[in-house]
Parts: sequence; structure tokens; C-alpha cells
Amino acid sequence: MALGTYGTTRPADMSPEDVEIILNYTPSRDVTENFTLKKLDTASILTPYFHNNQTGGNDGVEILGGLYNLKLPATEFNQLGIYTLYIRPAEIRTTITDCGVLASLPNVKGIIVDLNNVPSQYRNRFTNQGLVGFRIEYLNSDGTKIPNFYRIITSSFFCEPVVTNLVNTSQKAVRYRYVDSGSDLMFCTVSPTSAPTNKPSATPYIGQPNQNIIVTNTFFNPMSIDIQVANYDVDTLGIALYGNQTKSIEDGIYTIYDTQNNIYKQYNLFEVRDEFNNLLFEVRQDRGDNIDFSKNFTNVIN
Amino acid sequence: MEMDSQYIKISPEVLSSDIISETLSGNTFGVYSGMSEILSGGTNGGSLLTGLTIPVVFTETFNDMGYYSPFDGLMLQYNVVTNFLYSATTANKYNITLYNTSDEFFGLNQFSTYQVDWGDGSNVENMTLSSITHNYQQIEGSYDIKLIQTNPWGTTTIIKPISIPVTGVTIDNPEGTINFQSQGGNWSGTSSSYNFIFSGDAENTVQQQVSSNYVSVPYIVSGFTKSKLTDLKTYGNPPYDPSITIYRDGQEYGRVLTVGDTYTSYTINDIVYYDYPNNRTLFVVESSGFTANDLVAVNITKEENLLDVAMQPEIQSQIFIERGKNSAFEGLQRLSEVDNIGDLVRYGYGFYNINEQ
Repeated sequence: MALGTYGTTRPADMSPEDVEIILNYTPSRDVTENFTLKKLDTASILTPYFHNNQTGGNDGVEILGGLYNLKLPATEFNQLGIYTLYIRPAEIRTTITDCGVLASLPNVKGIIVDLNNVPSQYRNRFTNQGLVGFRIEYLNSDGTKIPNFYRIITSSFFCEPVVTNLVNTSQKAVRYRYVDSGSDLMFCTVSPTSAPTNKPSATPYIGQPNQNIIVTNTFFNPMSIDIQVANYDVDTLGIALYGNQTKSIEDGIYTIYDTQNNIYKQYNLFEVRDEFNNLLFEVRQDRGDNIDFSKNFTNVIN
Repeated sequence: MEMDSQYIKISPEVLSSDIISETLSGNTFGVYSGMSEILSGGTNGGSLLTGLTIPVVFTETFNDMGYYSPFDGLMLQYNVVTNFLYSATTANKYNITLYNTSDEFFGLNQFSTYQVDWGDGSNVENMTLSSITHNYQQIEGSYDIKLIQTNPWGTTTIIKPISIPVTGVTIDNPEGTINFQSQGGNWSGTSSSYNFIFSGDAENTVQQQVSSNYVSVPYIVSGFTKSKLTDLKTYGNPPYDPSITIYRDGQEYGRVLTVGDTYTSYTINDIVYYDYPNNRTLFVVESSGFTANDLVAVNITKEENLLDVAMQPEIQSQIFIERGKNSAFEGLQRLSEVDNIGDLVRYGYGFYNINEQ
């Protein structure tokens, strides 16, 4: 036995096509119903970073790993409010064609998937050993998902059926044998498939023919990103407290600048008096878009 | 699988596009727009933001789904350890000759005796030679021939059915191709065929599995190491003689090539070493990368204990399994390798009280 430790978390380097992004928008935190989820086009908004000459990898060719750039499409992020992005491995929805065993190893059980039932964009994943590590989740006939239940694909190979005579010669059984290529059928072994030794008859459920399943990669951990589009954040407070400010005595325009002396806000300062010239209010009124550019900081102090 | 979560707040201060550049009296400065104006200030009330991006880090938490580990014991097909063939002649189809094909070189079988039950009610015969003949007395029928192997580790019986008289057997598919039509299900009536024998199955050796896809022109692997010159030291003078080849365990080990003031060179196991006066030792060796010579055929077993599924070994075929050697440092012998008193002493680790006379 070796002594030492090893980590089990690595930077993911999956293709954007392996990712699914679900968007939920609410204008405020207290929305409790009528959630509208929307799937975004991952391939167009998620881009991996690549190595350059400064990072040690092959410039523009080798994926950096772990770090991706997510573009927030303006057509979706067009309101103030809270946007929740749920990023998870892409789901491949297909159907179990058959559940069978290998002709040469009848105790090796697995499910058979017809590639013609796989969405075309995901069909290239279905190669010899290409699905190892993928997860299978199962749907009931009424469309509901079997909760808290999944199997892991431990091998996948192209296969073709063979007919084997059983002990009763009137019976025939289709079994499967591996082929290198030229088949549309894929034999996937899953884990667990072996019955426990304390109850050999309790063969684990791996699905049944014509059952709808969801095949999901496990290339990365799902994540959520809570994006709040707001008028103010803590930087706003910093600008308001510590930024440069000017007040024009002549016209009462009060201007607040950011650290680069860009005009951040402009207000009108004035007093409201009654007919007897008694001071009733001191007012600070947001000028909004009506910015007096002559109050730029350089102009004021020079 | 872990779930990561991030929180990002976007307000005008973090958007450069939020700042509109203005020029007045030669001064260029920026003016902020409110976030609401940015989001609705475009054409038809659309957003002015076009390049809003955020960096995202993805990680993968992985687990090995079991692994294959080599089995260092001996594993043979059951019918190789104990088996027989039989034949008859065209002239006499009722005379059956049985040939004992049990692996005579397998040490376990050295202690075995054999008996044959011809299945026709005749007496069980002891079999002391490699073949034995029996006459079925012109009685047609089907019989089960049994070869009974008895040794200190148990009794093994191999049974093969036979039809008397023996006629020639026609092999329908000499190339090992089977054609058939599925009888039921979605594949009913579909013609199929497959080859159930191919060379890789017939001879499962390394040479059948490897390709020649390796570096044909060796490349140099070089570096610095500690001197191994003393491994080549001999008795007497000179201690390092280029004319003497050093052997270890009957194999050529190395030889001193040159002894000089600039460097001393020597070769050990085809690696050339150069010892320099500054106590640096350079080694040079040619490599072709991963070649067929690096492959060995071993039996492997799938162990799922990293998936928290630890099952008992499952027998998928009739095989004979001998116990393995525990480590390279242990002189443990397999049972079948014990063929003299010395081996028994080593095998038993002193458990047996053996009197030497």
C-alpha cells in the first residue's frame, strides 16, 4: 500500500457542447412563483481560455483548463434584477433499446442504446469507451423522473446481436457481442450490476427496454451563478463618500466624481422658501441625464 | 459531485461601457449613465450592453470506478489441467481410443492417478499409460466417457458424450463463421453472421496484441547520476580492466570501456556511464519508448473497491487457480512447484517437521 494523499478535484476542460446553461430571472428577491426558466445557447456564450506564450502551454491551441469565459447575452440581461444561471453537464436524452448480456460472458449485463435514438449533436460521444463515467438517470413511463437513482456507465462498446439457444430449444434469446465498428448499437455496462453476495437474486435495476433515460457526462461539477444587475453596489458608496465632489455656488449644481474624475452623479441643490422668505426645505435633486458638462472636474479646478 | 456557487453583482462602476466620453473646452471626461438607462437605452428600448462577460471556473471531482490489478498466481483453464481426447478408426467404429491430455508438465498432475469409466456398464479401468482402448461390442448408442483424475487435492472428473459407432464429423463452418436468422423480437427474420474465432482469441499472447507502432530509431536519454564504477571492480590489479566483462547471475552485467584522466567510461546493462574528475557521472542510454518488449501478459481482475462496491470474486469460467506469490522478496512457491524435499522445506516455512537421513 502506498503512503500519501491525492486530490480528487481537477480543473475541468470539457467542451462547451458538454455544458447546459439554464437561466432564471426575477426582478427582485421576493418573487416566489411563476419562475420562467430558459435554456441558453452554450456553444455561443461559453468559451474556454487557451494558453498563450505567458502561461507555459501551447499558444492558442492548448486549453488552459478550468477557466472559461461566460458571455451574458444582452438580449437576456436587459433588466435590473437577479439572474440565476444554472450550469450543469449536458443531458443526452435517449431510449434503452434492449437490456441484455454478452454472448461470451452472460453474467455481464448492460443496456443497449441505438445511436439512431440519440440526438445528432451528441452522437459522437457514443464511441468505444466514449461513455465511460457518464451517468444514467431513468424516467418513468408517465414522464416523471425516478428520483435519487442513477447508474454509472463503466464501459461502452459497439455491439451486434447474436441469437443463442437456451436449454429449452424452443426458446431463443438475443445476446450481444462486441464489434469494432459498423454498428448502430452500443452496449453499455453500468455499475452496479452485480447482486450482493448476501442476496444473489437481488440483481440491481439497470433499466428496461423502451425506457427513456438521461445520459449525462460527469466532466465537471454543476454550478450556479447568481448575477444581480443593480444600480448601486459597494463601490457606489465609496464614490459617494470618498470621491471628488464640487458644488457650483452660482447655479447650485452638485457633482460627484469617481476615482478617474468621471462625472458619476449630478444634483441640483436649492432651497425652498415661503412667501416670507422663510426656509422650508433644502433640496438635493438628481439631474438624471441632464448633466452639465461644464462641471467636469478638470474644468472646475483649472 | 460537488456543487459550486458564485455571486456576482453588476452595477455601473464595473462597466466601462457605462461611461460616455464627453469633451468640453478641450477637456475629455466621462459621464456615468444609470444602470437602468444602460439596459434600456438601445434601439427599441434594448440594452446597450454588448460585451458583458464574466470568468467562470469549472472543476471536476473524479473518482476511479474500480481498477484492474494483476493476478500473480497461476490460472489455467480447467480442461487444460484435466482433459482427454478420443478417436476411432473407419475400420473399427466401435473401438475407442482415449488419450489422456491432462497437462503432464503441470506439477500438480504428477501425483495423479487416472481411471476411465466407459459409460457402458463395463468395469472402471485404471489408466496408467497415455492412451487406452475400449471396445463397445457392436452396441450402438450414446455413452458418457468419464476420465477420473485422483490426486491428494481431490478428484476431478471430465465427462464427454460419445455416439457409437463413431462416424466422421462434418464441420459446417470451418472458418468459424456462423450464419443465422433471429427468431424473435425486433431482429426476427434478420440474417446475421459472425466469426466466433479469430487469431486474437485463439492465441492470447503479447505478440498477437502488440503493434509495431513504436520509435524505430532509438533516441538518446541522458542525465547525471551517481557513479556505479565500483560495481565493475575486480580483485587484483588493475581493479578496472577493460578486457574483463563482469557477469552477474550468469548474465553479462557490464564492462569498463576506457580509463583515462579526462573521464572513465563503462557500460552496465547497456547503459554507458562517464565518470568525470569532478565526481559527476553522465549516463547515456538509447530508448525506443514503449515497445512490445515492455508488455507482459498477465491475468487481471477487476476490483471495484474504489467505488465502494467490493464484491467477492466471481468465477466466469472453469479455471484452476493456484495461489500466488505474495511479494518479490518472499521465496514462496506455488504448490505445483513443489517437487522435492528442498522445495517442501521452502514451501512450508518450517511448518513441516522433515527429518533428513
